[in-house]
Amino acid sequence: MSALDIKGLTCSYGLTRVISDLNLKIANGEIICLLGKSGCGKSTLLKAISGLLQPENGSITVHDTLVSSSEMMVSPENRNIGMIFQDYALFPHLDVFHNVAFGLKGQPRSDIKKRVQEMLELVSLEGLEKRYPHELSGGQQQRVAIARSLARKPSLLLLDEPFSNIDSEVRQRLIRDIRQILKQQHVAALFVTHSKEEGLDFADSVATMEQGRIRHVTTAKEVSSI
Amino acid sequence: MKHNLPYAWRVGSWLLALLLFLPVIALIVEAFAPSGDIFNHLWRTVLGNYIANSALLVAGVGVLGTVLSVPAAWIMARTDIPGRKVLQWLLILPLAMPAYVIAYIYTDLLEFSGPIQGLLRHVMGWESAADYSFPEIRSLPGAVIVLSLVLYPYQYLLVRTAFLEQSQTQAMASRLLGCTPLQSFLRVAIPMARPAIITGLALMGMETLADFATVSYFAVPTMTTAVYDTWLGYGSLSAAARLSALMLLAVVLLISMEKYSRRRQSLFQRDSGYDKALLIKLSGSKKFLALIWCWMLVVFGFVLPAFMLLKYLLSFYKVSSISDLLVDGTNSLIVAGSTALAAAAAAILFGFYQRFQPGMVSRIPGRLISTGYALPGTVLAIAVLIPLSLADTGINELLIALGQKPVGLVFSGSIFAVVLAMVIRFSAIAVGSVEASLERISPSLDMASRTLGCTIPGMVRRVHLPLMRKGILTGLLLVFVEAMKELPAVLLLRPFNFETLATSVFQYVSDEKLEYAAPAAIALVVAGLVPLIVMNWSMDNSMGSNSPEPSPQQTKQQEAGHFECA
Amino acid sequence: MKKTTVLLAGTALTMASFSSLAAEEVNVYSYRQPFLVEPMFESFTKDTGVKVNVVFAKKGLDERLVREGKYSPADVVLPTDISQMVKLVEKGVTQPVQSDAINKSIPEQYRDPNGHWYALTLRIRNIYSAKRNGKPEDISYEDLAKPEFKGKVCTRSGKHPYNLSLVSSMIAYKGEQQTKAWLEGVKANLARRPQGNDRAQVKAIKEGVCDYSLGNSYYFGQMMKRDDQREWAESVYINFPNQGNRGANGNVSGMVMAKHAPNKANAQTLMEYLAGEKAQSVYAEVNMEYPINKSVPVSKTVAAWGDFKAEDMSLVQIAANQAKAQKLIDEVQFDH
Repeated sequence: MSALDIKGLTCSYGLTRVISDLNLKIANGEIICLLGKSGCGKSTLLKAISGLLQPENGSITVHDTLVSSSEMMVSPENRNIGMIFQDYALFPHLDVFHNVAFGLKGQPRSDIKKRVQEMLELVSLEGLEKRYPHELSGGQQQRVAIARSLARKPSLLLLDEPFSNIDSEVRQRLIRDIRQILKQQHVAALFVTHSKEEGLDFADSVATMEQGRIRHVTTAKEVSSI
Repeated sequence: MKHNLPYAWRVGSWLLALLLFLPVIALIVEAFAPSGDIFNHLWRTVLGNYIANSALLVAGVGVLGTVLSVPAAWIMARTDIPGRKVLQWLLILPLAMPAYVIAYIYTDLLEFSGPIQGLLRHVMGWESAADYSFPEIRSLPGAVIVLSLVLYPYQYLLVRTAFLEQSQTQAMASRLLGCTPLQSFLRVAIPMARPAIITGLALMGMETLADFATVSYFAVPTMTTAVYDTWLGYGSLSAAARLSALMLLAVVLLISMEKYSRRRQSLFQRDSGYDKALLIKLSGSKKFLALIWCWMLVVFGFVLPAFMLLKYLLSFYKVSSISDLLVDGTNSLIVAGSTALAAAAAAILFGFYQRFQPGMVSRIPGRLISTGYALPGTVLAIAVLIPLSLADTGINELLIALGQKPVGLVFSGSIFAVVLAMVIRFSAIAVGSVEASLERISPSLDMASRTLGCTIPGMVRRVHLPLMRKGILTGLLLVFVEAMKELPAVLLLRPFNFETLATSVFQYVSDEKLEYAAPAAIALVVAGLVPLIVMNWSMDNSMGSNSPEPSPQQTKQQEAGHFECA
Repeated sequence: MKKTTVLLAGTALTMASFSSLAAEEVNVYSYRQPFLVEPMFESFTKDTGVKVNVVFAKKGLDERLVREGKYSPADVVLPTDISQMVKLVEKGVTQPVQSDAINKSIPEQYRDPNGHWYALTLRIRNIYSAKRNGKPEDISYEDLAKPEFKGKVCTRSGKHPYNLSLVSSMIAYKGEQQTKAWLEGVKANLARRPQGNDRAQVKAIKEGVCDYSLGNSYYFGQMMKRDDQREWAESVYINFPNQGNRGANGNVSGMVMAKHAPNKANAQTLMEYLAGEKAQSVYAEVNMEYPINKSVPVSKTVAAWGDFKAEDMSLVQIAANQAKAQKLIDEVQFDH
């Protein structure tokens, strides 16, 4: 069983074809890095997987459930996919607690509280529940975003250039921490970046993307030896 | 970052602000003159009622206008509703409709002898008014509806811009966290657009407070009515001034509310690309509902009244009135055009003063002149006359003392007075939009250009003004549209033999000849439409870039990179 | 800054063009509507060669005159009501005019003994009644407050000058106490909140909203002349109130000369013209008012309404009660 299975995916913006006939598979608990220059279609791929963008052709299967094909499309809120954005997309009008609790609506209040506490412990942000996003450092905001996504126990986590706005000293540690969290929670992840170093540090395998297609898939060890 | 602003700039800002604020000062001074027991008498009898009416009216228009406009703004900014391109500017057209014109038209349609009740009677077999009950349009709720229909575009414009500027990633994040589009709207988009919504509320509130023509036609006495009563009925300018001062207080409150909300806005705004492919796809009943909602606003706020005006025009058209129309139209254009230019120039002057000399002091000029927004036109007219006629007398005495011929009332007896009154009344709009566009220019650009060897004027000319173009244009056009519609101040301050489109409409209507007012009313609406379309077009061009993966950092760097100072 | 400079220059030019008006002219501040006075001014210019410049406004011209002070360009003011004229005199912005021609045209009771103001036309505050109920034998203003009129009365705002004049005269005849009781009675009988103008009340009678309304006489004549309004007028009788006792209440429009009139001679010519037969017959025929000049006949339409007895209270005395009237109307919250 795989966490994600994409077959023959094609996406366009108007007349520009951004992704053409793309195939990609991610195993359970696996972290894959998608490496490519800006404009190669990485972000578009993430939007298609998360359901924010209707593909032209091809199919997307998440944990054996078909979520997107040329005939049907499951809306994003029903896919149980988490996503971390380059700008974190924290809600500026909500404090840390409510940001993390955002996706837990409908559960009993005590459960929500417990889950948020768990998540904040996981990302080491205990005690900052009352802070607003603009009162946090970049790394802290990043952790809130991770906690927010993982709180819903997603079956797949997408990360869109999550470390590009973070100082290099903090970055190393953050990459290690988050990788550890994902492995510990056994969450499969697709990680998009233009930095080869980040990819090697964070992912199990690295796929190179060029002009809307996947060129190589290699394990991290193989890449580093090239 | 503090810059050494040229001395003339600072002095100019203060002088201009004082000139524009003089009338208000005159009014406040007047308010402290003894007014006998009139104020007490009013307080004992009708004032409570009037204040309650004003408060209900402002609250009602605020709520209804917001309820109407915010969903429409969101639909336009975030969904793929059919006809989006056309609808988004159709929705601002009611701004070109003077509230009093729309009030007359709806009264005509909805009153007992109007076609709607006539049809009902015909169908139901009723004979007289005693046989059934029909909601009275000339009432407080009627005034709320009519004013909301023409004022909602303010809220719509501001909130739509806020939605367009909201980073789309937050909306995406909310969807991935389990929100349906509707939930995402309620839990994310609206709270994030709160500053814009509050600004819109303040604008609608001030417009409502200053309205006189609509409420007096609907026989809903408000604070404005009280001001007129005390001044013209009891002949006490000081009691009237005191009441106006009360209203000014309300306005200052509204303005500070607006400023306060804008203060937090910077935190809420992130530049980010606008990706059309991410628009929510509407289908089935949702699409139908969205279409009904937006078209309802367009139809009741613009199409229906415009259709009625055209109908009157066709049945009562006289060729002979064309030349009058041209003269009145030219007058309107001159007055509204000068007002818009002057208001924008003042706003720019104050805006830069505030930017380059940050602090409490530099903020005052812009605040001062914004207070004129809610002064009832006639009161403002008198307030303007007080300092202007003093100046005129001074000039004439001086000329006589120098052995020259006196020149008469060069300020108070010319369109200078009309333009000054309108600049005072509407500069708040220009100040608001210029400030907003200045705030959006990153302070690092100032530093970059100064280090590249620019003087302040050079920097303003080569960096800020080009970047502010849209904000300035928006302010200019909004002031223009408002000035075209302005009535009471023009009526009282105009020089001899001077008619504008608005006064001409008013003259016919006050004689119950709405039909004959149609040509001038249509000209007025068309004159308002053109700038609105231009404005929308320019806004549209700034949004909605189609590039798939825009990077905000890059665009900013480009802006800085292209720029070099000699 | 450049923009402002250009703007100022432009404004200065416009101002210059306004201050260098032609020599033979007269400047009028008019509360009366352009439809009525413009034709008269045109014929005045044709007869005398003097150009008439006008500012029309419904409110506040007195205050403008006060502020303009001694360099005010205004020569003549045309008020719609005695209270406006008295207010202008009280504010000291008028000057006395002595003219045999005017005195010959305007009877003594309709002019200020010192020549500060002159009435030009007389209008009666009539009671209109629904035709469907038959012609009332006799009707008085006092009747409108009687219990049997409950829900049957319509009127415009109590604070309109015409109603203020009526209430002022009521105070002069009956005292404040009785007038207040009368106002409360009328208010209790109203079919709807006071709104619209006098014409709108006649329309409301036609529509069955009410049966009686207060309205000036000339509106009846004007409605008869308009295709779309004739129906309204035809559904009512025009009644002259209080014929059995003090007579019907009347109000006047008039003219004053501004204190600092720069074109004094022309102003006097215009005032004489307005009191003269030619202009008076325009007032009579076009606006259906009662001309003040007795040598000018009322229009045929107006004559058909019959003779009537008018109050003989002096205008000044009535105007003196204006402030009291306004206070009473506020106290009973007449408009709510």
